[in-house]
Amino acid sequence: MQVTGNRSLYRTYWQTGDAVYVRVQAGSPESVLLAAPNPWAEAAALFEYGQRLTVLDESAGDYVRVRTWGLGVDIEGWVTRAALGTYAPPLSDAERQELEEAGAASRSRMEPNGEQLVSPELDQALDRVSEHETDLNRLLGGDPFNPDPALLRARFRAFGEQGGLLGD
Amino acid sequence: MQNKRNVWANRLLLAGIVCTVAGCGLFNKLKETVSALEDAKVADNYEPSEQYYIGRGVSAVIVDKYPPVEAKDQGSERQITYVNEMAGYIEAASKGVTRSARKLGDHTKRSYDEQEHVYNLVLFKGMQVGLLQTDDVTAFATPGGFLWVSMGTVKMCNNEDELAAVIAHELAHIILDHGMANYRTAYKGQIFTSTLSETWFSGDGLGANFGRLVTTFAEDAFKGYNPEQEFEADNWGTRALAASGYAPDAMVKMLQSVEAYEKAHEIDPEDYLAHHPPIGERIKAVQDLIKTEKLTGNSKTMTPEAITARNKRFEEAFK
Repeated sequence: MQVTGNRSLYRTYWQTGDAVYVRVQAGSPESVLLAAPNPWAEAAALFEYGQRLTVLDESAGDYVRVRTWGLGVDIEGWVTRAALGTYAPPLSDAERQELEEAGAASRSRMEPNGEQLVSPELDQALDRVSEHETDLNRLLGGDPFNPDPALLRARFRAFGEQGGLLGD
Repeated sequence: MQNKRNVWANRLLLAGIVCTVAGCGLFNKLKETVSALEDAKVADNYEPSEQYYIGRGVSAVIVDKYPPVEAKDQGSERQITYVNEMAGYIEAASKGVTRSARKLGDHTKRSYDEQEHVYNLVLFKGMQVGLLQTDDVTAFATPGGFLWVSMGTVKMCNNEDELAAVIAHELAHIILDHGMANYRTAYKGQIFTSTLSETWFSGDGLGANFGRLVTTFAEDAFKGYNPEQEFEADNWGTRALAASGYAPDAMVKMLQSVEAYEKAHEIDPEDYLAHHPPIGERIKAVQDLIKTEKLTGNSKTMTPEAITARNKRFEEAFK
């Protein structure tokens, strides 16, 4: 797989009508279309990784107003600016699998001479990190493998409310 | 001949454009832009997904040294849920902090491009906080949103606001991209041929450089970030406490607890605390920030009822 052009030279400010792409994982708290440009707004829709959106208004600081479509219906709302990129992130299922497998490279330990040696301890530790992630998905997002970002956001907000932290 | 003529015509046109730009006083601006774009190649060489996998690998090295508290351990589900809800809440409530703070103390300078990179940092899967089964006072933040806090650190905190100060400080290292910034500084120039992205896109497979990346980050994680970054994390963390409704001076109290811990324990020279700036200087810097920025705390969130509610759930989770 080769990339043409310089993928690094992304823009972070857009014009009305520009196409942008979601660059966070589905299930991340940022993978949602918000009803208003604030962190506690209701989630109007959920995004997939790489989903194409159209910019409508980008004047609200950390949020961009966008239009997306699904099931034949246009939906408009707000999304965190940093969750968007100007190119389609190349992460198909096959590529994701490749990246997952590459993570296994961290199962090796670098020796002082620069040699990488496979470490059973690190291998086990990586499994514990994976287990930790599925536990968090289950405890906070309601599903070990497909956490619900709307549920996550609601929990964060409830934490603030119950602690008397939201003020207003 | 026609081609040669076209080449010379193009050269003349280019020279004309350059002269015009120079004549308009924009030549230096153009040079700066080109330089910024060159820097941008380095600054944005890692996608959020790649940072996540780097952080995951570094987390394995941390967990290898300090066993994590697991959800299956008795009573720990509540603890794990509590710290993750807290971190998720602070992260969401602090969205505007980085942009609104024109300057995060006097210690860290960023180019325009680096600052834009920080503004546009996003976590591929959100925050993931883990607790470590050690009484050492220690905490780690890795690229990609992994944050590890020792039970010793939790026990050191006297209330929820102080634990929030720990989380906010560590979150700052992630939000301000300290880990990747160190890597870019160390490997600037080499990064084009050695990044995960380059390896990935060249089709050579990912494994070749991943181990080296993870090892580099893990070494940084155990050494701690550099003193300038620690000051900056205190600064951002204090502003984040204020933005989240917590008491900003909880950062001072938390640092004073660390100071007491340092006095009571012999700090291993290899321990991350040994690499932090003197704690007294950090406390003074935060006190100065609170005074100059008038971060007195939100009167609506600092009512006795609100403080009691927070401390009750902190006690229920950990005592």
